[in-house]
Amino acid sequence: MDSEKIIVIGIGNEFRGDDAAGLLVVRRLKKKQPAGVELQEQSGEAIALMEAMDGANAVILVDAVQSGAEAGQIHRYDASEQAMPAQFLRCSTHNFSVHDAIEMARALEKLPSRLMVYGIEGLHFEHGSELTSAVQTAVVVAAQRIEEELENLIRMNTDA
Amino acid sequence: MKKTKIIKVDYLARVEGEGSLYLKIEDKKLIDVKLKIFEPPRFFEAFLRDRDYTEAPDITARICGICPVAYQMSAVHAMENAFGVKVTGPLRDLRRLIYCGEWIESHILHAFMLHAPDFLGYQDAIQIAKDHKELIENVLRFKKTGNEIVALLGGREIHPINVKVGGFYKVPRKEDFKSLRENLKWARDFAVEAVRFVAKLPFPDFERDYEFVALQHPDEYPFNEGRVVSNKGLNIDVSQYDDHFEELHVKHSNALHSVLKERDSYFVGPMARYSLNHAQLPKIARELAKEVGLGKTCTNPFKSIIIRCIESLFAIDEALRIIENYEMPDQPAVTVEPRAATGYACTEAPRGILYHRYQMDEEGIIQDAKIVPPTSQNQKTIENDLWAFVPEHMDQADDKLQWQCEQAIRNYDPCISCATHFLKMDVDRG
Repeated sequence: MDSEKIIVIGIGNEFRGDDAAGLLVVRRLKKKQPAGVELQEQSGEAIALMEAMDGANAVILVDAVQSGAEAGQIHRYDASEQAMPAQFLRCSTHNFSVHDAIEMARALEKLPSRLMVYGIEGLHFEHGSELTSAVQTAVVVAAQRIEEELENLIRMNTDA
Repeated sequence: MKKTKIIKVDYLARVEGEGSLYLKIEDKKLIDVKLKIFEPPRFFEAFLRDRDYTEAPDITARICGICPVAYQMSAVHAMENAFGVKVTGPLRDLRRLIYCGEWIESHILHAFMLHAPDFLGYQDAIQIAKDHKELIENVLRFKKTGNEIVALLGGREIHPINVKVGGFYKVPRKEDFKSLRENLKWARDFAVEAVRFVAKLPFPDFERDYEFVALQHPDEYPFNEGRVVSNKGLNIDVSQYDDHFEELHVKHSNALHSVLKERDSYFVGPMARYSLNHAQLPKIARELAKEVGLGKTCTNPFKSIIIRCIESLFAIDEALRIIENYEMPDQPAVTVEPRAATGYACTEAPRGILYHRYQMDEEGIIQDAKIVPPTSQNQKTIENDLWAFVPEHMDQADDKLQWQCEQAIRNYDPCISCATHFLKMDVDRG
């Protein structure tokens, strides 16, 4: 395992309204391109996601979710500490889902030592729908929070 | 008083995308089956209008994260059909090669991650991984060889961007295939093991008299070219598709049900392809099929898992053959001159034939687009399977019955994200 490697992976489908949230967060981060951080966009196909995480020390995943909470709410899970709730992240179009990717990686002992999952609660996931304005705001807020988290991770790496 | 029973599955797991199933049983008699699928690709058909023909492959590739290559292939072939372009030689071979990559990825993912848990009695593949770590690691490694092909030719693994009307933006050099070739050799051995493994699974005793529809080509197992044929006498050029097939609106589902006008429902996908094209499989695949007791045709849809693995072996073997014979072409694409015309194509997506039709003006601007994904073609056949299957298994407990119904649906590897989004199941027994 590359002890330095930090990856942020945005997951989503830009043709499906709020499902784009994860991608948009990563695109915001790209403008600043934090040093030593790899930024990736993914469709949510689970095995590709497992492969993307493989070998990294710390991974931050950002995806749109539909858990019944208010649109725009930002959930944060420390997936390295606890199993993901099964119903979380299920709005992925691919049903060997993001949740399954994380739990499969855990079963195969391939989970990065730190794995944070940000879920942005979405409302509209139909093809061609617009981004909900609360989600638009949440994208900006989530990008900021992730930036702060990255600073901490980089500091931890430097200290180590 | 009547005893009514309803089995409802609001959210069908382990299908690509989401949908729902509703069964109504009254006095031990099945009286209703509704497979609900929402959100057909109409959005994309509208989205394509007024766009340049060159955009179709990349836009339609976005319909599905699992089979982007199929969408690209149907799009480029339909455009080339409209503009009178023929792609031959190494470029044609490279298209077959990228399709091999997609079949490998898609088939192994479905067979082991989504369908095998049904047969083995596991809740999901994660539970299999806990008990059979090495098997799942090998499955993942196998799938990776498919990714590698798609990434090499498509420019990247997901949503490949290197495919264009007329060929590719860039083509690989022969030496670029070096590490892939070694990985494919390992994968060929694993594919043989995979076939033997799935062939030992317990299969429900269930057969139906299907009308199989697939492409058929005189010289090869079909990917991109061939006539659309069936085991009940259909034999047409792709341009006659709309004369023979129609899509019907059904109240309970937003997706359209495809039927053959002169008959009714039909079956597309690996089992149809295999049954219509067995003779075109390489010897290794034919012999292995024979070894595991699979005939030249198969009418038990539960055995489609074996055929997916046989087709994976074919795809590996075909990929190796193409790589061995490959000579880098002088140009990565042939020249395309747009004209006012309509073009048609069917290619063999992992789940079955994928039909595209485009009408362009003299500038090559798309005036009209039609896309019929394999899952909407199979939807009525899946419901008919349940009409036949449920009465024979009526006495089982609800949870067992529901399990088997879901398994029956997964025989088709329904890609509900192409046909739609969000599938949710009901068994109604009152």
